[in-house]
Amino acid sequence: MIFAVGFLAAVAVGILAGMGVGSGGVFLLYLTLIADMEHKMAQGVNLLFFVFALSAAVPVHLTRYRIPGKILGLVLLLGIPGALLGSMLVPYLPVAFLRKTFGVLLVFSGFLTLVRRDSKNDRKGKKKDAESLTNGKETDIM
Amino acid sequence: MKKRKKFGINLLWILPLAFLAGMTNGVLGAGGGIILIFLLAHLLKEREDGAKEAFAVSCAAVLAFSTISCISYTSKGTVTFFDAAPYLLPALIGGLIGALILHRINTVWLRKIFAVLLIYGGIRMIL
Repeated sequence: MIFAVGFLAAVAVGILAGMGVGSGGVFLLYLTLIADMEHKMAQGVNLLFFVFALSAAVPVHLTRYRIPGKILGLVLLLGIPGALLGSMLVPYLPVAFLRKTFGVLLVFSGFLTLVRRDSKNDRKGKKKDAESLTNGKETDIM
Repeated sequence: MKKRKKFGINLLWILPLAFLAGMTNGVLGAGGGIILIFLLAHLLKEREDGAKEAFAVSCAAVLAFSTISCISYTSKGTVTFFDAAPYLLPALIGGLIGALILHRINTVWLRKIFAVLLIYGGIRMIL
């Protein structure tokens, strides 16, 4: 039963991840608050989860949306070293610090999502093409 | 200056925010995409398909950040593949389904509902 609940929860979060609906925080919350997983391990599990979820989702998105290669290149240029540095620091950081920092990030993200306005095209009810992303609105990733 | 105008964005903003997004992803195990999508969407809003490009770049970038972070986490023993094994197949299934149905779903209210959930969960983390 517990396995079934966990499986369904993971599928649901995977769907949200594929849609880009801010699910990274939600799954980490599930792992720590419901599955009662140790926080640093939960972070690692969350990362592995998203590697798999996005590995399935990104190829689909690539067939529909153009990725500006130079912008992606710039993002990866310093983003990857940042990710490497950040992950190397984790063993040396106290769990309480990680939890509170993550909590602040979640509250900030949630607040920004609530106050963010819809796109002008959507408000004006303009015609949307079949390839439009979430009807022209912005989305969150992880 | 010409190169910045050609892209329609201020290049100087991309590098520090990308580093911050990657570092957040590595330190917290999540959150890199939050930073990327909010800031890229703002920076690319003047472009014709700015929102779509921001989404696509964020997806691909977070995948790269998470992969790098995973390698570091597993090499230091913070997590093993077997710890995450029960969740990986549903991740693949869900990720594929989510990507396929994205253009059929209006995610505005879904995002707002999860925003409330994030705020609640964030407060529980802080307290």
